[in-house]
Amino acid sequence: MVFYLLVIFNRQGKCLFTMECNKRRTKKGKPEQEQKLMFGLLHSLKSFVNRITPRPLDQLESEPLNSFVTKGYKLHYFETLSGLRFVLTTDPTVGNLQELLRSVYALYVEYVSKNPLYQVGDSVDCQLFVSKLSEYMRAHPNFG
Amino acid sequence: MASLQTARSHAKAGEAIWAKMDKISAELFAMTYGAIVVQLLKDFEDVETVNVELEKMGYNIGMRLVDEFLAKSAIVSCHNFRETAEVIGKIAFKMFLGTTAEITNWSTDSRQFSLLVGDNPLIDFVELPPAYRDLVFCNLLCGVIRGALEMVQLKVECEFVRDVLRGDEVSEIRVRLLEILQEQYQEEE
Repeated sequence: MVFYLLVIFNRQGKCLFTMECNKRRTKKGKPEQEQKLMFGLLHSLKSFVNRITPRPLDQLESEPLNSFVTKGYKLHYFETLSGLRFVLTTDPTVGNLQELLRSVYALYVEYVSKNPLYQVGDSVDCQLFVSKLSEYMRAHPNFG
Repeated sequence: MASLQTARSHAKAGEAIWAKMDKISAELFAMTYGAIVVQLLKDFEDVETVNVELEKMGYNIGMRLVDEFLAKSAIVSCHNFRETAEVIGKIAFKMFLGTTAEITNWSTDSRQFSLLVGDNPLIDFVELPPAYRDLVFCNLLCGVIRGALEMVQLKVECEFVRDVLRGDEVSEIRVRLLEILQEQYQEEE
């Protein structure tokens, strides 16, 4: 049960923040390319989900896309109404992490968006956010 | 009937979040805001420019405030603009200003409404001298609404059409929906 990678995108697909929680496999290609692929995939997946759904999704309380699982990892997804996307990849056996991603959003609000020197849409470079975040993630039972 | 119920639940949600928010002294809040406006008047020496500047400052605040609002209210997406208006007046105003705003004067196409701001903590100690008759003292609020709504893909225009500071009975902010923005993402080849 481990966390791998946390990524935050904005609505335009810009990667605002990444954090590697545990050493992963050897790297293939540049991280920028990986982020672009990831955002593209999520974007397409979301529109795919909307397209094939048997009932209209705006009637549903929860988000249409929460996570998907592959053999190697599980990807958890949380999108805010303001267009921020929180993505966390973990070991495939991990359960529902919507609550965790909401808490990461709460930390983002507290230490990023309330920081007057942070410009909305810029990459997140707030030391306090990073330290609070890793503290929070480390305390989570699934961190390993 | 259904809308009456949602209106009540919005008011209730507003109360509940207000109870959880950190509070500051209303005087400190009002005096700080007053000091900012006065400084702007000194810096720009022109009331019209100050109005514009206040709106811009509000816009920048709104863009970041929206995330605090969404994170703390855990609200789900509104079905229509009418619901959005209720959420602003009953939840967002309560959450950040400790007061609610009444929603009225809907245009027939449901794209324009007015917020009647009853008890506005920003103007507790304010009287406009004749020289500043055209100052829209609380124009920051218009900017906040515009900035916050833009982040949830609603492009609006916002202005004070009535203002107690300028002798009206009530303060009225008019909100006009200009456009619902579409998500844009170009995949690169």
